[in-house]
Amino acid sequence: MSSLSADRFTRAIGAAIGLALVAALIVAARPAGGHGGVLPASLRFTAVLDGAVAVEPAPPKPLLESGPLRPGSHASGRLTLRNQTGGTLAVRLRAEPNSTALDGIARVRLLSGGQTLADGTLQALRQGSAEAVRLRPGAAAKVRVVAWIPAEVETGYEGRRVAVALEPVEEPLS
Amino acid sequence: MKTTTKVLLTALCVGALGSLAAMGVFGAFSATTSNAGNTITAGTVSIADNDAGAAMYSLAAAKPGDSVSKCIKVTYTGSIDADVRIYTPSTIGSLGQYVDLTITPGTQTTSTFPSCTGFTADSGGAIYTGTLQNFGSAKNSYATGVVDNPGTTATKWVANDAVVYQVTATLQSSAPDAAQGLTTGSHTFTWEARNQ
Repeated sequence: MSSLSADRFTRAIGAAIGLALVAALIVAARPAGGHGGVLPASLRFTAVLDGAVAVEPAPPKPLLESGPLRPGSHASGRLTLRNQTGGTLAVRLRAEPNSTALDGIARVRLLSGGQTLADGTLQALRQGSAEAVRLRPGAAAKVRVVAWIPAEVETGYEGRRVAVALEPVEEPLS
Repeated sequence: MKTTTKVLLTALCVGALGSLAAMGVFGAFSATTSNAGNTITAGTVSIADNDAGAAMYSLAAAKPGDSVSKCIKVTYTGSIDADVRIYTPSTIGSLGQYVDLTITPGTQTTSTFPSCTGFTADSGGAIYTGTLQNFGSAKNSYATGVVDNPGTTATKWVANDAVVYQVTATLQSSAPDAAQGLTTGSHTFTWEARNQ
């Protein structure tokens, strides 16, 4: 190989390495694919005290803090309801989010003792759970709260943070 | 000068003058500043108990010395700091003069109305001791009600504060024969919160 050929070969190798470095920089700098490149949503559930039903964890301690929530990811927490009255109560749970930002996007399921109390959007839970927990005087029940954003959701959740007050709504049973 | 030329020159003059006027109108310097997002939301004063509409006590055919002791849990859920006072808006019947009433604040590990199981009185003791009749005449409105704050050091009620009140009513052992057949009548205990 002549010195001219060697020089051209070295230049070509250098140019190739330079191009590869530029390409690597561009690939590394681009936003991640899927939902990883956007701000996640977050949900924070806190129970509401009332006179008739004691709740644990008591506010302001949250019963569920989702952390970063993206389509397909779940978060769960637990709540204990206890009847403080002298009569049997049917207790439903009603959501009072502090904004409508995730109303139609976030889904919430409430489970107690193998029973599904609610399963739907956060917006639907504003009307109260479809089913009630029946509590005798002094009796307690655990409620599992699961919140998630469905995997098929593509947009509308980004960066939205919603605090949800979960309020017991009781009805005396004869 | 041809008519066409005159028309064109007139249009040119009008256009030029219009342009000068437009420069005067749109050429002014301008600047603004604004403060957005202002809002006012009222706070709440909210208080509740665990009686679910039931009375604390109902003694029929009480004898001298009979006593009833019941507990009620009062929870404050308002967002504004508040004062709470206890009073009765009821008119107490003539048996009230022979009924001793004691109201003691405290805590309870597990409250189930109207049980006092597990009740622990605050170190300050009772906040009212006297006859039911005296309570009815002296503590019959917010203005004259018994002031109580949670625990022994708090000076106000804040969101999620709760106090259990033990209410004890005793028909005096010394009640005279004249007390026979009398009644206190139905009476209500009211816990009223007002923002500070």
